[in-house]
Amino acid sequence: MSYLNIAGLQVRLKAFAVDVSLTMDRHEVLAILGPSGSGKSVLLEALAGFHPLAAGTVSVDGRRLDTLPPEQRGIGFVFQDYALFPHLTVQENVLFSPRLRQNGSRVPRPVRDIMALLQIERLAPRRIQELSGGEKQRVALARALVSEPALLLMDEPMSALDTVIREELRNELRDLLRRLGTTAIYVTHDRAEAACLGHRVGVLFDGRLAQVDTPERVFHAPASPRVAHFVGMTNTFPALVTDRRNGLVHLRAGELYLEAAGGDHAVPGPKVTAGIRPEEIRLAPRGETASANSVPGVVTGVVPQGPWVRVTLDCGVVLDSLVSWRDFQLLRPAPGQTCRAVVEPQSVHLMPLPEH
Amino acid sequence: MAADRRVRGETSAPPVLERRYGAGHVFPPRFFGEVTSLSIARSVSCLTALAWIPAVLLFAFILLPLLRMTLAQSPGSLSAVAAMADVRAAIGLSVSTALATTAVAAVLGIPTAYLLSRPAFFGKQLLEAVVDLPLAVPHTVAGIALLFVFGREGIVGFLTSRWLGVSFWGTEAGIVIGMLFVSLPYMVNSARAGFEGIDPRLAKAARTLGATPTQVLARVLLPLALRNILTGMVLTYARGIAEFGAVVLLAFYPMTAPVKIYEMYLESGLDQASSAAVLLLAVVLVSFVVMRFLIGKKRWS
Repeated sequence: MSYLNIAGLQVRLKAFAVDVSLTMDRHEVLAILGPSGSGKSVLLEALAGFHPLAAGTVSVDGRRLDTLPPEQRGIGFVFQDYALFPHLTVQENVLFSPRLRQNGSRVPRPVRDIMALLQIERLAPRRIQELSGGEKQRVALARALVSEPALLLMDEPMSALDTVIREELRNELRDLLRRLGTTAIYVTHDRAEAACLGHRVGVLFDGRLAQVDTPERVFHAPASPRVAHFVGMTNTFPALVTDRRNGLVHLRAGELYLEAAGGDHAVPGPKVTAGIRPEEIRLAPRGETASANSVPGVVTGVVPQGPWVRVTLDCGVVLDSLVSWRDFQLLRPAPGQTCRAVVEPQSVHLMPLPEH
Repeated sequence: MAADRRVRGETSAPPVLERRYGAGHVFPPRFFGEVTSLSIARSVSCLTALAWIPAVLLFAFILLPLLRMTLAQSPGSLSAVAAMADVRAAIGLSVSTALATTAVAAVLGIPTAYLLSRPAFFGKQLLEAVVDLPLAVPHTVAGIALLFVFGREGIVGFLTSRWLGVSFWGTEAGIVIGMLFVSLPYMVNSARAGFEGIDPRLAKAARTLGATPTQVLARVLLPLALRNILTGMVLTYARGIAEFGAVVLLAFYPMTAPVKIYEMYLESGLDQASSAAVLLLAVVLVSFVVMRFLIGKKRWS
């Protein structure tokens, strides 16, 4: 019996439904990744007890939760805009839960420990309005953690922060959750956040989990073209399986011939969707000796993407390649030039055709 | 795409730029944000200057009559009127009944305001319209209508005088009823704005932290709406103390200050009445300032 058991949970709202089954181990962090409107927040709010369930059960540590009101579920919640109480100081916010049970002026030891851990002790007497976004985030987390929740739910807690602070806090939060052994569900639409924080990543579309797997599997071996597209495997195209030899699957997509290492993944059928992450397409000069999966193509676009440069090649199938600035400088591909796209067979992932 | 650019007067970068920076740049660079923000600022300051003209007229319209009336009083006439027992009794009665009205309005109005701040429910719009109705009803009309219910032969008035010994005709209770009818919308709407201004996630957050709905109300919603609730109470008090039309129909006696002032005006003319009016104005302003001061301290967000 797993620690968290969500069995056939269904929430029905106007023109929208969530239908999720899920199990989690104690101390596990699950990141749920999904586009806006996929039902991420609704799922969390249903677990916390703010939406009536149309069907299904939720239990944590053998205890049924779905029949309890929110205040008895022992679920901590960190909201998107933190939802800190504006009429209370930082310390009063963190002490909100302990003070419900016991009045007094003493600050209990675990509260002090949590505040120290999150480095917010010096903020204790401040008003909420005086805090920066990052500080608010820490206070919200501390407030949720002091009641030692059996399950911590976090609803895009970093979406309001600047990129740099977000990246710092992301790593800090990862360490903190692992250190405290918190069982948590972290909802986000940010791929990097999901991969960084979750022991496993669940991809949610239209209220249903399309895939729940390790970050490695989700990002490198997505279950469907839709998941592939969402996790950044932008090169997906239909292909025909022409042959299977020496553990390699031979594919043809129009004029493009590719080999995929078919070792660990089963080939779904004669017609498949092939997917290649753009970071795993290397560019080589036109003349380089043709190894496996080295296909010539005409450069059609060069667009800087922050840390990467996206080079688009027409190889019969249009392929996007993300190359480092260093690689870009070595080759200097320009629109109209011809060069080669090189892909390891291990980087060609096979999926079923998209459902229609 | 290219046609689109031509419409906006843009072309691809000239060859020099192409060579220097690579393809794909739009030329000329667009700075229209900077160019127009200056002219926007200028027209805004012009508008602001124009708005001062009606604003000054408005201030003068409010302050001039009050100042003129106050300055017309001699210390002698003020102290003479202030020494009159019936004037002091009337002002005292106005203050005490307005305070009682405020208490009743708070008890009835705060829960109503909370209900109306909740998401749509059946009959919400009707309830909203009913709450605002006293604002539209002329006050003498309200007084007559109240007589039908709270008067000696009214449904409520008859029963309460029979069983509880409470009559609303010519009593303090009647005065409170008159004041209450006209001031309830201020109490409800102000408190309601307070509840509506609270992020619903705060209540959810409190629940996940272990608070029961009652604790959420006591520790989150009421403290956060407090400022608006107090403002509503001040408005109720001010509206109540000012009420003439509805009150005079239910209770000519005992006389509240506005009724007394009207009576003095009819019997002895403007001089005496204006001295009493200045006294009432002073009492109202002092209590108003005191309450504003008390509320002003609780400020956040």
